[in-house]
Formats: sequence, C-alpha cells, structure tokens
Amino acid sequence: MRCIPSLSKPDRPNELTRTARNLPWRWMAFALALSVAWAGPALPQEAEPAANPTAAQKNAAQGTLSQPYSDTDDGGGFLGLLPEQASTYAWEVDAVFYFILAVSVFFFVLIGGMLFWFAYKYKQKSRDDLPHGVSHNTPLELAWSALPGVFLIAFFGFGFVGYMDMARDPGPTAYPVTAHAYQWGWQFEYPNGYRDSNLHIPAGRPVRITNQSKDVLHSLYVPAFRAKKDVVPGRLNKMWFQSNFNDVTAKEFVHAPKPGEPEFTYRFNEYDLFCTEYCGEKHSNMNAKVYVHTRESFDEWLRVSSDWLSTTPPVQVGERVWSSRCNSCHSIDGSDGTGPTWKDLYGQPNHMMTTGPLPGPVDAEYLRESTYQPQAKVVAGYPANGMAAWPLTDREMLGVIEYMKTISVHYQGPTLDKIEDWDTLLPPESPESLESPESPDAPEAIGGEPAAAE
Amino acid sequence: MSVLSPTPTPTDIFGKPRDVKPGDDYINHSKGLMSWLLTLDHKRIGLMYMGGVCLTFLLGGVFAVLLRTELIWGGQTLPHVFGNSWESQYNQMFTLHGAVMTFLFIIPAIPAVIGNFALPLMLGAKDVAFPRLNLMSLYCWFGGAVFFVWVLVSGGLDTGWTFYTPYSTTTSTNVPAATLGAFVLGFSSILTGVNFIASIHMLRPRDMGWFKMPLLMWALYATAVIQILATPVLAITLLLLFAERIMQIGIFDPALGGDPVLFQHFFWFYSHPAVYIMILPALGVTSEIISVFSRKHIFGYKFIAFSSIAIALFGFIVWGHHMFTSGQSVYINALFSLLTMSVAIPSAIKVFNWLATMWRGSIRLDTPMLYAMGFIWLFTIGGLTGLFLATLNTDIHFHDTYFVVAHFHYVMVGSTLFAFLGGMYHWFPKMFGKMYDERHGKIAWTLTFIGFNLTFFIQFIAGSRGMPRRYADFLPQFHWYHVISTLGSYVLAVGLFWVLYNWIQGLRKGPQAPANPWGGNSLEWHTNSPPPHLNFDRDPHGVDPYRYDDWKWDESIQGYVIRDPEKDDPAYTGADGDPLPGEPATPAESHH
Repeated sequence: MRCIPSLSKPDRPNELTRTARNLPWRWMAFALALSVAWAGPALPQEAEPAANPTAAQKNAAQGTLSQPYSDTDDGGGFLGLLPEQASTYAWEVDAVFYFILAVSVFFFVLIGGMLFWFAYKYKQKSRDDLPHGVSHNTPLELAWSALPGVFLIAFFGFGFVGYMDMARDPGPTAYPVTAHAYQWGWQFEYPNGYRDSNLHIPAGRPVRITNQSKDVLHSLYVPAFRAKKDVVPGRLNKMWFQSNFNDVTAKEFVHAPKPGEPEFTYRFNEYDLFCTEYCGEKHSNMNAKVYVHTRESFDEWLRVSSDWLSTTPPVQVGERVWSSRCNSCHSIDGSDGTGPTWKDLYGQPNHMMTTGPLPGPVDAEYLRESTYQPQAKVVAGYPANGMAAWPLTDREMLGVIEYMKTISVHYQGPTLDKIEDWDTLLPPESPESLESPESPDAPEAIGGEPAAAE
Repeated sequence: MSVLSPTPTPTDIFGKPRDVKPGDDYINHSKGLMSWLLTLDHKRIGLMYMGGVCLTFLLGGVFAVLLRTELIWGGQTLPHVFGNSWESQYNQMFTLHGAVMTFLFIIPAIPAVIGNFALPLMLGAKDVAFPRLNLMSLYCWFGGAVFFVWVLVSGGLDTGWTFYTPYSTTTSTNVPAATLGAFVLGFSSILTGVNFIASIHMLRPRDMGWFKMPLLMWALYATAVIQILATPVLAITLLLLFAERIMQIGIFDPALGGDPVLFQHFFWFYSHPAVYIMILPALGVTSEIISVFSRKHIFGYKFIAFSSIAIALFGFIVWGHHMFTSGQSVYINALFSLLTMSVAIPSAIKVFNWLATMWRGSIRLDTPMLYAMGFIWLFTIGGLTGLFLATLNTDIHFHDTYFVVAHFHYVMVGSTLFAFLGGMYHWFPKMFGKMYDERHGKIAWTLTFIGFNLTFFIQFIAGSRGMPRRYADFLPQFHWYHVISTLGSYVLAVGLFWVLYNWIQGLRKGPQAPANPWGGNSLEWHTNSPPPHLNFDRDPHGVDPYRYDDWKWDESIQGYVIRDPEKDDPAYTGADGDPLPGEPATPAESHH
C-alpha cells in the first residue's frame, strides 16, 4: 500500500524508480514459486507405488477391464481449487463456490488489510497515549450487521437452487444402479443382477444410485461429479448424476471377450470414488473407480461382465470373488487381518473355534456355513459379529472353495483352473439350476428403452 | 515487558512498594499439597485446571503430530505398535486426538482456566458464587480424564470423537469407558456454567450494571447458558448409546430396529452448541485484549455483548447442517442452511467492532495483542470458509472432506487456541506475579502463527479437490498437500513448545510484575499481582472497564499506576467528576 501514494505523485522520481526496479524481481520470485508449486505434483507420482495398494488398485488389477488405471488425472493441477467437472450439475456447484469465494476474498482482504494497516498506522507512540474516539455508532453498526445479510441470503438462494437440481429425482429415464457398501468395499448391482466392485455407468443418461449398507454408515462420494450421499443402514438413500462423455480425457481398452472372438474397443472416462463416512479400520481403502462409458462400450461391458461366471474357470472365479469382496478382511499370505487368513485354511485339522476345535478338518461344508451364516461357528480370537453373511451364488461359492484349495498345503488334489473343470463341479444334466437367480441370460441393453428392471 | 528493568520490589496499584509477608497472595497464602487439592479459591482451582488442561493438550498434540507424520507418505509410515493394523492404529490416534482435544482441552480451556481465574476478579468479588461446586467441577474433570486414560490403556477407541452409530455400538474398542468419561466431563462443564451464571447475577459490585461488565463476562455468560442447556442432551445421548451397547435396546442400531440418523440429531443437538462453548469465551478474551492494547474504549459495547447472546441462541437451531448428506428431507436441509447463515451476522459484528476499536487507537504489539490479532485473522478465515459449508450444494461437495477439517481447525484450534494463549499471556502477570520474556513470546507467536496457517490452509485445497477426511492413506494426487501440512504441523509444534518454555522461564526467572502491566481498567487490574487470597484489599466498585484515562505509565516499575490528579495533571478533574477507581465514594463496608 505504501507505493500507491508515490505512484500518484510523479514529482518524487526516486521512490518511483525504486519501486519499478524492485518489481520485476518480485514477480520473478513469485512466478518461480508458483511454477514449482504447479510442477510439484508430478514428482511423487513417478516414485515407487505405495507399499499397500488401495482396494481400488487391487480391484483394477483383477477386474473385468483388467487395467490398473490408477493414475486418474482429475485436472486442474496443484493449485486448481476444484476437480474436473464431470456431471451435469457440477458447474452449478462450482459457480456458487466461486461466487462465495469472490465475496470471501473481498472481505478477507478488507479485514486482513485493516488489521495490518491499523497496526502500522496507529502504532503506539507513547505508553500514555489516550486516543479517545467514538465508542459506538449505531447506524454504522446496523449497516455492517445488515450488509452481510444480503450476501448470506444470496448464498443460501443460489445454493438451494443448485441443491434442488441435485435432489430432484431425474424420473423414469434414469438408469438404476444399487450401491451395496460394506466394510470395506463397494458392490454396484446392475438391473440384471450383475455386481461389480467399480461403478460403470453409461454417458449421457441420468443414473440413479440407491445406497444400501450391509453394516455401518458409509458415504458415496465422487468428487468429479460433486455428488455425495451417505449410505445409512436401514435406509434407502437415493442419489443421481448424469455424466456426459468427455472425448478429451477418454481412455481406450481393447479386449476380446473370448479367445478367437473379434476385439472390442471400450471407450470410457475414469474418475475416483471415495467412502467419506468413517466406517472402521480400512475406511481409507474403501475407494473405487467410476467408469463413464459410451453407450456401445457400456452395453458391451455389461454383456461381457455379466457373463463372467460361465466364461471363467473355477479357481479364477474364486480368486476374483476374494479380490473384490473378501480381501479387506481375509489375507492369502498368512498375515492376520480383521478375519482369519485363508492361507493353509482348507483341510486344516484342529481349526480352533470359540467352542473348541472343529470335529474334522476344514471342509467345503464348513466354508459354506461360514459364508452364509458367519455367526454359527466363530473362529477363536475373532469377534462374534465381525462378518456379515455373504449371499454368494453357487458358482461363486464353488469357485472360492477351489481357490482356497490352491493356497493350502493341506490339499494335494488337482487344480481346477480350466473352463471345462466346471463340468466336474456341476452336474451336467442341470447346469442352469445352479446358476444364480440374480443372473438372467440376457443383460439388459441400455441403448433403447428405459430400464424396466426396477 | 522488557527484561531489562526487573523491579525487585512488589508494588501496588499506586506504584508504591508494598511489604510482602508470607501469606499475602493466594499462591503462598497456605502451604502443602492438601491446601491446593481441597482449596475453594477460584484462582487456585483455575491454576489446577490449567495444569490439567495443558497436560491433555500435550497428549492430544502428540497424537496430532503422529497423525500428520503418518500422512507424510502414502501407505504405512509409522511402525505398527497397537491396534489390529497400522490403519486401525491411525484410526485410534485420530479418535483420541479429537476426543481429548474436544472434551478435555477446548471445552474447558478458556472458561475453566481463564474464566475461573478472571471472572470473580473482574466482578470485584471474593470468589465465585458456589466455591464448593467449583472444586467439584474440577474433580469431575479429573474423573473424566481418568476415564480417558483408561480408554488409552484398555484397547483404545476407534469411533471418531462423534461416536456415530452403528459403528460405535459394534466396534470392539472401549466405547463404554469413553462415553462415561464424556458423561462425567459434561458435569464439570455444567457445574462451571451454573457457577458463572449465579456469580454474574449475584456478585456484581455496586455501580456495575449489566453494561458495565467487561465483555468477557458477557461471553462467559452466553457460554454458561449453552453449557447448562445443551450438555444434559449430550449426557442423555451418551447414556442411551451406553445402554444400546450394553443392553441392545434398539434405539440407534438398525440391526435392532433403531435409526443411526437419530443418533446424529441427538449428538449434534449438543455438539453444535458445544462449538460455541469453545469459541464464545475466545471472542470475549479477544474483546478485552484488543481494547486494552489499543488503549481505546471498545467500539460498540452493546452490539458485541448482544452478539454473544445471539450466537448462543442461534447455536441451538443450526445442528442439522451436519447432516446435509445423511438423507434427511431436502426441506429440512434448506431450513438448516438458512438458519446457519444467521450465525455469520453476530460474528461479523464482532470482527468489525474490533477493527473499529483499533481504528485511531494507540496499538502496542505485545504478545497478547499479537495473539488477539492472530485470532481475528484465523477467525475470519474460519468464518468465511464456513459460508461454503452452510450453502447447500457446495456443502454436498465439501462434506466430510479435508475442507471441513481445515475449517473447524481454523475455528477451534486457530481461534480458540490463539485466544487461550493470548489470554494466558495477558493474565500471566496477574496469575503469577511475574513477567514472561516478551522477545521469546513474539518468536513463539511467529512460529505458531506461520505453523498453523501452513498446516491447515493447504487442507482447504486438498479438501476442495476431494480428499476425504479420516483417511489413513491417500491417492497419489493428494501427496503434496499432505507433505506441506505435515511440515507445517512440525513448525506449529515447535512454536507451542517455545510458548511452554517461555512460560516456564517466566515463572522461574521472570521479573516481578506490576499490578497493572498493560494499563487495563477492568477490576482485576485494580489489585496486586498476584492478587491476595480474597482478591481485593478493599471492596472495589464498578468502573467503565474500557476507560483508560485513570492510569499513567511508570517507567520505574514497568507498569501503569493510578493517576494522582493533583500531582500528575493539574488540569485533570477526573471523568465528569466521577470518583477515581479504587477510591470509593462511600465507605466500602456499605457493600455486601
């Protein structure tokens, strides 16, 4: 502020030149600091990956679109204040944000500036100063009581209008997805019953998410969509968003559904999804990815993904069930987790329960019971209510058992890792009877009529 | 104060040397451990509270530094010592950091330490209205602290300080001990509130009407109203949670037929007003310091006084803004958003009135004033960022992200801690009769101020870009924000230890403090430093606490002394012929 009077008085050239001489240096220092700040985030990403990969990274490595796209670039750089706008109502949030920001910066500069200015201008000259001044001025005080009120009403109004656009249901054209949250991961259920641990949605169409919790509070948050809703056990909280396809940031993935079939090019945008309501030990691992597909890509993805049980060998089915639903509590390397490890579990003699050892070695019957009725027998040293029942389909359950055999020293039999091996597990005369009732043959296409599944 | 001219001889408010006999002041009035543990003296109770509160602040601060250290790299950083895994170790640390800081430190810090010490002195009273209740409140606090120590050594606590159900009804950590601890601490808070309200109503001296009270009294009065009305709700909520856990009743746990959102309503119906329990006394302390160090009458006394009451009342009708994403009705959300905006008005009034007080004042940047100005800076940032959280659609984006973390640390830590430290520096000479070293005080302030802003400002950006709170781990795009924040927390920690060093050095080697080092005119400056056991040698009567004309600087004792009108200033006739402070117009015996 000191240079302003000198600029207005050109008859004092000394001060003017001094200011002018200093100015380029100041700006260069500022620009340097800014560019370091901007370039900074590139550095850690080239460093070695985190010691413990997040659940999303693990899932991505083994999911249907088996690509570890973990380097989501949400745009904006280091000092950008908000992530990319990827939903139809994101701009409304951002507009209100920047409006409040502008008003806040104005008042902050005003207040902070006065603090510094007064401390400098009215510095104490003598300990005995007695600067008598007015002790009150009612009109002035009423003015600065009322003035913020005008802004506050505006903030409320704009925020309310934007919020109603988020809260108002998009109607029957919305594509329905159910988000099942559990400790600690997500299962997104599609109208045909298929479940995936990442959220795949079609672009250009509103998507309604119904939140369901298996256990405690969670919250579904997609920063790029500016969308968030708690997952409350006992309630069905609904949220919706619509994302338009962004060609600039689109990613591609070429994949053939089966060996020998023609390849298909998936096209999608990728965003982060977080749990934002604290839910226990591995809350910070409870994140996933949102894939916004083109319509063709989404249809193909859902068709191929829904078919995975009949196109994946038993052991691989078990491994994928483990990596998408069980891995947050049960390790396969012998380390202790929230639940007992699966390493060397199958066939283990003298498995200790809270009521004493199992009568025989760990077998398929015990593993089924532990999945469908976890409270029936509790392993010694673990909480009685540590696990919720998992309604695995028969094929999934069989796959899990075969997978557990492969990681146990107590099992010496064959490894069922070929697609033909299903024939030995499932009676050939009635293969359909063992299929999950949640997996009808034809997945619903989304290109045409609105979904009727719900 | 300068360290250059220590004054070995204690002086009274007239600058005259006084004989010091053992037992003159409250510190050496009686000796022995029991004389402290069973004391009914509000000043000693305040000091004991100070010891306890500072210890718990140290505990919570150690957790804070460990948390930040864990987050300096992605994945596991600290060795895994307790809990199921390193993540659960982090969860326990952030829970205990939050619970200890909230229940044991911030809520009692200013009312129980500075309030207990200064309130009766400012009222010209011998003690609070119910000295025995006051002692009982101290022991309730210690009792609550014991429960939290029990939690620490018996499996920890990993629910977050908010105890959200159904996680808190199912986790295996020691939730019952923590809820009982918070329950007992609630009584400490209620008893202090009862005492302050009764004291302010009953013990004001002759000539001290409601609008002649120092503004800290208004702030403490408003705080006490919240303490009495809101804390019982917390007590009931925690009892229900306790019963839910032990007896499986089915109030909050949906598996038993309860509703988790009901718990959130109960919890925030207390805990949002509790935020104002934390900040209101800080606003009062700032009003005192700003006026004294500008040597100018506070601007707009009544607006500041009533804005404290307004904040206390508005504080009761805004709790729903903690649940915008919980799935409650959109119209309830809209109502709470609008009501929340109302809190901004009394807050803005205070800030503008403080600035108007400084305007054309005679501002002296001693350590207490630096903390008060730091308070205005941080409170402004904390308040303005609250607007983003009160507005509906921006809150949907920011809810439960680091933006919220940064916001409430600016309001609670930044503002309340700075006001607490400022208040401690301001009343340090009165409490202990010694001066601290001004140079070290300023260095420590600079470190805490820079460290605090470094730690928390970057968190606004991390949060607005989507970093969720309560995460033991983070995605790579958030790494640099965490690095900067962690480095800032180290600077802040060094600054706070510097403050502690400064106080200890002041206690050990500080020069004798004059009765009135700052030239304040509220009644605590009208008695010796440290005050006698019964506070005043004669009954004071009410004065305008913000009129500084009656004091003049005395270089020889480095303090202000009562102006002798005939000797010092023949033209001076006193303000409108009022009797001078400390010189009752009528004999003191007529009072009481």
